Amino acid sequence: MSLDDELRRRMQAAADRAGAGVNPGAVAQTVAAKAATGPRPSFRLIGGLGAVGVMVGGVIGFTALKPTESAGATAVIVETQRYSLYDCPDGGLRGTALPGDRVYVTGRNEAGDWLELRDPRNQSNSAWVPADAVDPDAIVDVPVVQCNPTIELMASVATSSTTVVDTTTTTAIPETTTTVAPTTVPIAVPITTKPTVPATAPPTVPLTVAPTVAPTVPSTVPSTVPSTAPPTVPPTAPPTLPPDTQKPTVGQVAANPTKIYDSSWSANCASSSVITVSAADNIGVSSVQGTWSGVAGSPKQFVKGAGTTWTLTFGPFSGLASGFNQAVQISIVARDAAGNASTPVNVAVTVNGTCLI
Amino acid sequence: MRREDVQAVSAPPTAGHLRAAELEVFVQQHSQRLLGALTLITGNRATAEDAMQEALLKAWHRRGQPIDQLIAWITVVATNQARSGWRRKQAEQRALDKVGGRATHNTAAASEPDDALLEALRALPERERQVAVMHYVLDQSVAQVAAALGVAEGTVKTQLFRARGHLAARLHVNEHDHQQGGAA
Repeated sequence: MSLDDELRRRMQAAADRAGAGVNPGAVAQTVAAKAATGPRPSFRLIGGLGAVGVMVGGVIGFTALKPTESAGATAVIVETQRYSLYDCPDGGLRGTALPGDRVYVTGRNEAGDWLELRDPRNQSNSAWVPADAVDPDAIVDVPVVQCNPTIELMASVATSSTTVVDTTTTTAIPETTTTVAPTTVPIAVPITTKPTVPATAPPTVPLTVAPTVAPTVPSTVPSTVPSTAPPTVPPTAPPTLPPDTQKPTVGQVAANPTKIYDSSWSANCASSSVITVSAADNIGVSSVQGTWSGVAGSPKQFVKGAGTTWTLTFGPFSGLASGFNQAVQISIVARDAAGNASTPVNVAVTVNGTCLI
Repeated sequence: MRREDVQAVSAPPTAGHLRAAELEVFVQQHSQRLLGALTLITGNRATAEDAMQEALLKAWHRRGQPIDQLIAWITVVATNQARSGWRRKQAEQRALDKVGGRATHNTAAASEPDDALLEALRALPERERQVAVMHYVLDQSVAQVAAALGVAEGTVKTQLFRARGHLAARLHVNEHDHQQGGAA
């Protein structure tokens, strides 16, 4: 008997044991009953990018559409948590998707564990997010793409004054106050514009003129703003500081306790462990992330504490097999705002499926 | 159940759009093996049951769109569902356990469990475990697994090769004592 045959025989026997006792009729009835209540509400698009969406979903962090339902991209909305966005799979930290942000899934890596998105802070750029944050349906539907990190020269501008909150309803553009240099009138005339996009209403510009000003406004002051005028962005001098290339460092990692148990066994058995690290950087640590395999929940962000301390609650875990006994290695990486990542530091916590008091 | 049986039964949904009767037939014929496979992948029978039902429901809602290899599709969707729903289910599971609301399925009751195999499977990375279960338990070919996961066949071959090596090592089976039958 070949190894393949041996594995096939034993695994099929194990599967049949594990699946024994299922009632197909009951399964079919349950599915039919759920189906009768209608399809699960989902986030819908009308058109492609920039169309109106309504979200009711039932997934962890994002809700996604099938690519066939939008113009070549899958629209998702960030629900209850904030998620870190990365340049590339396992790359540097790029930014954050916040609750309420609408982003578009444009692809995935070959392994399917990372998804490429349009950066919600700058839709012309792409960013990556771990796939487990997104509706699992999107993982099998979007095309495989290669990571091609976008150089973002105006990142600070994109995250502040020109933030596109939701292109589907209103485009928030900051008020722009322009001071016109005096020409024929010896005073400054402040013009306050509130441009709206799209130009469904005529973009009239209220003129505020001091009572002493001559009734005719100099021809050098435009009385209307053309509807095609782009939103004015205050000129920002390009950053002249040298790039931050120094990696953060992680030290003093501690886990307490170092052995935890399935949470369903007893309240007297510790079901979670607090991982504490100290992380430092020349500019500042922006995030600390723990990743592991063997139990669910990876990756997970540490929470900033006092000083250089960051903490992560590892666990609880439920539904583990009674024989489960595994030392889970938690790999801890700190990142700064420039995307520099520290050398990973590991700490082990033993997870047990059984707790016998 | 052999590979040709699976293909024969799942052939109607593959050929066209899923209909209610086809879904019912599929559930009748495949639910035990599918639930067992999902239990091996997720490590938890209750999670597997919920995930299988959610995946079947999704298949039903997609009945307007053809699904290639329904059993593989459901396996992948259910695995993803189990992964994403894991944290959500924890609180509910604990509450149900306390009041005895969910029956405990003792899968060992039917016959002696293959603890060594279960332990070896549990030790595999999730994707390797998924690929191995789809291939060995559900008799899916490398091409079918690759199509269901949306990855290249070479990726599946690599993962299957690694899974086989890890399983052989943990089960103390000398791979050289066996004539390999090939993964595809």
